[in-house]
Amino acid sequence: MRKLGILAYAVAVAACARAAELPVWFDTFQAPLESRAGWQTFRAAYALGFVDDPSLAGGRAMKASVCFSKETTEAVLIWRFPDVQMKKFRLRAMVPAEIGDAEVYLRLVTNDTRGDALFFKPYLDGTATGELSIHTREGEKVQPASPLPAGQWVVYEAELAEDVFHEQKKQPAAHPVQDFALMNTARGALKLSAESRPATEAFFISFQVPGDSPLMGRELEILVDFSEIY
Amino acid sequence: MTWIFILTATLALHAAEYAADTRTPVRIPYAQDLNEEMLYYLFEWGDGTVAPSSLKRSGIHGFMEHQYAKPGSYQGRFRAVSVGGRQSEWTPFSVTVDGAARNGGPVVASRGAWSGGIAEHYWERQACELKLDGWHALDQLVLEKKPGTDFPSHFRIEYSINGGKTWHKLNTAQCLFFPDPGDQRVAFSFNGVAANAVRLLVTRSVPGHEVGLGKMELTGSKELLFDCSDRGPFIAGLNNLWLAYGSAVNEVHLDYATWGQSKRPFESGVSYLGNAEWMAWDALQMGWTNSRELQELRAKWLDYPLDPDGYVWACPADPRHLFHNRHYDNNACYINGVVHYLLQTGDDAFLRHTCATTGLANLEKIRLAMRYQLETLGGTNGVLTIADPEVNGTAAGKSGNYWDYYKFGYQSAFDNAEFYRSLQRMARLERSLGNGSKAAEFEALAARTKKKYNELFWNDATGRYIGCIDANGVRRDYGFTFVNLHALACGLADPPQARRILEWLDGERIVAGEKSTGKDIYHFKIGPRSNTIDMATVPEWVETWGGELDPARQGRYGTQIQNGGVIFYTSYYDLGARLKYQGIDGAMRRLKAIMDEFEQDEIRRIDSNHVGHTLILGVLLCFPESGLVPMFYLDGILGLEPIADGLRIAPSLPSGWGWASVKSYWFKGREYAIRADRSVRLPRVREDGARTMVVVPADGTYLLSGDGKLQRLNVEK
Repeated sequence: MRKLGILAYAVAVAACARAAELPVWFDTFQAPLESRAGWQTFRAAYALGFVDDPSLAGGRAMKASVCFSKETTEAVLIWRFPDVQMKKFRLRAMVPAEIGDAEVYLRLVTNDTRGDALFFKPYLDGTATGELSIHTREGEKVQPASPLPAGQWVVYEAELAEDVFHEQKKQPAAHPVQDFALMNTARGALKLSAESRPATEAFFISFQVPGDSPLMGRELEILVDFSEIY
Repeated sequence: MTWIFILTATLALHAAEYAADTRTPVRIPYAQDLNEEMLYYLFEWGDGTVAPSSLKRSGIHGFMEHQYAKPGSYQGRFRAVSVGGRQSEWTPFSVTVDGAARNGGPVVASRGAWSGGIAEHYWERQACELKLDGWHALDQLVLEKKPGTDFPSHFRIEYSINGGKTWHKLNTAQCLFFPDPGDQRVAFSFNGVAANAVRLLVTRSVPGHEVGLGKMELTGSKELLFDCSDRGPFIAGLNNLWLAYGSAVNEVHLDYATWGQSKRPFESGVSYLGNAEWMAWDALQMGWTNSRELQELRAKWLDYPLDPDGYVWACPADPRHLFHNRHYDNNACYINGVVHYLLQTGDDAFLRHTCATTGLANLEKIRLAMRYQLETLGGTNGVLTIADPEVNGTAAGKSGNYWDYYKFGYQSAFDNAEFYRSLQRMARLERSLGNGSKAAEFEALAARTKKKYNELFWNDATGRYIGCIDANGVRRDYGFTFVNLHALACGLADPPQARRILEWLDGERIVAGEKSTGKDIYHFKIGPRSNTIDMATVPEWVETWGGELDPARQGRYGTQIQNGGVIFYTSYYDLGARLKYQGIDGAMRRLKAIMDEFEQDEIRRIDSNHVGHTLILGVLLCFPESGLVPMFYLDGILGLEPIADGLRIAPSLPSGWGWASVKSYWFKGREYAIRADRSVRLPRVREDGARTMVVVPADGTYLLSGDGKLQRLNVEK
């Protein structure tokens, strides 16, 4: 009987293992070398570091030093990864408890290998109290959004097919990071054909505050953990 | 590119046939596209081994090499595996191998079965380590599957030079969705990485599953490429510094070629660039090798374009730097690169070749390029003077040389140091051709140029050289460390001047009122900040490239390579300067500081500033010149330099070193192993198979002729 129990457990574990979907690319910030690779700060985000926390997978999370201003109401973390066709993205983030009721919103943009942008929906917890707007070539697009709860980990998850809209840029590879042009190796000249959508190559993880936010000029640390691509 | 896919399709239908022998590797072409995902190629060679390539972009045309150990007919196949887990169909090939069977390299470490345990979470990491008895130049790691366990599907191979305190990726061995190899051996090439520990690191586990290995076996050699009596992380790291930024053989090259830049997150070293302002550096880095890259450089330089008046183009496609404006250091860099290449290789065919773009023999091109400096730029007066209003050194000008954030021009200290060196190189070339009187003219002009250089560019108030004198006579001194180190390495300063410059750089002498002083000048440790005066105080002298590089934003001091940041190559001149003016132990203190940084993370640092700009440190990606730094081992410590009548060997062994050697050094078509040894009294040469072994005492200067004869020179170092 005991053997049968063990067998049933083993079958269950195997079934779970088969059923569990694993990310194709991820970062849990375990190894310093690997975790620095691919990550950049942009706009109001100006430095990256790590915090140790044994309760987290891998024992660490990444912290981004951020300082919003009237001119820069957006702090962006750029995460570059190998060109891959993505179905889903998941991320854990936490804004510090000391911001109190001040609003910080989260949204994502990804670049595909043709230079087009895919805009993900903003973070939404079911009780949207705010909205975020994006200026597109067709005009302003407004989407409902929820501010991130202070001092709590939140899971942001978005599926490519449902939670994005596509913005075709005029110029391929028009990346917002200035020095990226130096690394353009003229792949566009190859005129490669893909069977379906192009692969994606980078995320722009954007934390935004309203123009009248009380956070202006304050030094903040935003934590990010478990960045996963499926 | 259509033909790539036709070729691929053809290969899929019919097994392509290749011939090889046991001494030379077979090269199999590949080019597959898996929905534009990055991918690697998995080759089953038909001899029981399977090997993955490094990661590539989809659709890139490249080659995978393999050396068979035994003659015979082999049926192989390959497929592409993408980072998203897609797999292509197999493409078959057959290889007929001739020649005598050969043994594999000696096994330097091995271990038996290893099990990683059953993983609970996918992100759990497990490692199987292999410790070596001392440091070895690694050849190949072979893994076998353990029956009853999973072969790891996501893993990478890492190595350590300090027994496992810090680990570095073997960049070419990062595997995702690796298929079950069955009973085949999985092989990874190290291409001579120096290490004393190796490990397989599982980077993604399958919960509920156990991974394992049946066997792990490492081949290699006790003899390192750069070797010395003081074995340890320092010399091991110096070998790996060459592999990372010199040959770049183990780097991820997404577009296959080692000169091609990668992109994040696979920041990599690259081998060469080949354009005018890189030519002198490229020749130094590649001239002593027998590499494919050297042949590629030769092909690029064979018909390199010049204007009819002798102006050397910035790149084969355009006379202007980045299609922007002309740079007048192109000519000196071209001369210095091509002459070094010729003296190193003895490539007479290159010299005689009639250039397809100019109709001139290359020897004529070199002389024309020099004539342009002497006549058009006025070099016969001992200083180059640029008349081009776009490069006049004023705020109205544009960039004038490699350092294209600044508006160097008119009379530039940077350009004139390279001009001085080009006169010396030209003298060597003419002397090697039997034109002694012409060589003497260049040497005399070099002496006049040195005098003029010090009259014009020395700033006694700050105790260093200025950057340039603009067309209005304004002396531009913004604390350019790279100008000063370059001038010192060229030997332009007298000892008191050199002492003042080095005291300033080392923080022993403060130049009051500057942004960076004291120890802060070496804040980044791998080299000095490029400049010590914040360019935000002189924004009009910054080449803004259309307003994108604002000193108040991307260019904020300390966050931009050309405003308080570092370009790593300058450390090569730093080391050469210290050797010349402080002796080898002064140079070694600096080199030790660099190697301590390298031991941490191989200086693979891509920090970004507050506006996402990552060019704070110029080491990886578009900086092939980083490969100059390990060259100090060859031309500084071993003192190897091609001159008119042979290879000069003038070693400068650090205190505590009994000997130093290079295992493979090519000079005029012959492969040498060269060793400087304190315990040896007389120089000697002997044949050792294909190599010629040269051993010299550590305290003299020697000349190795093109036909392998060695003699002592009665000269001061």
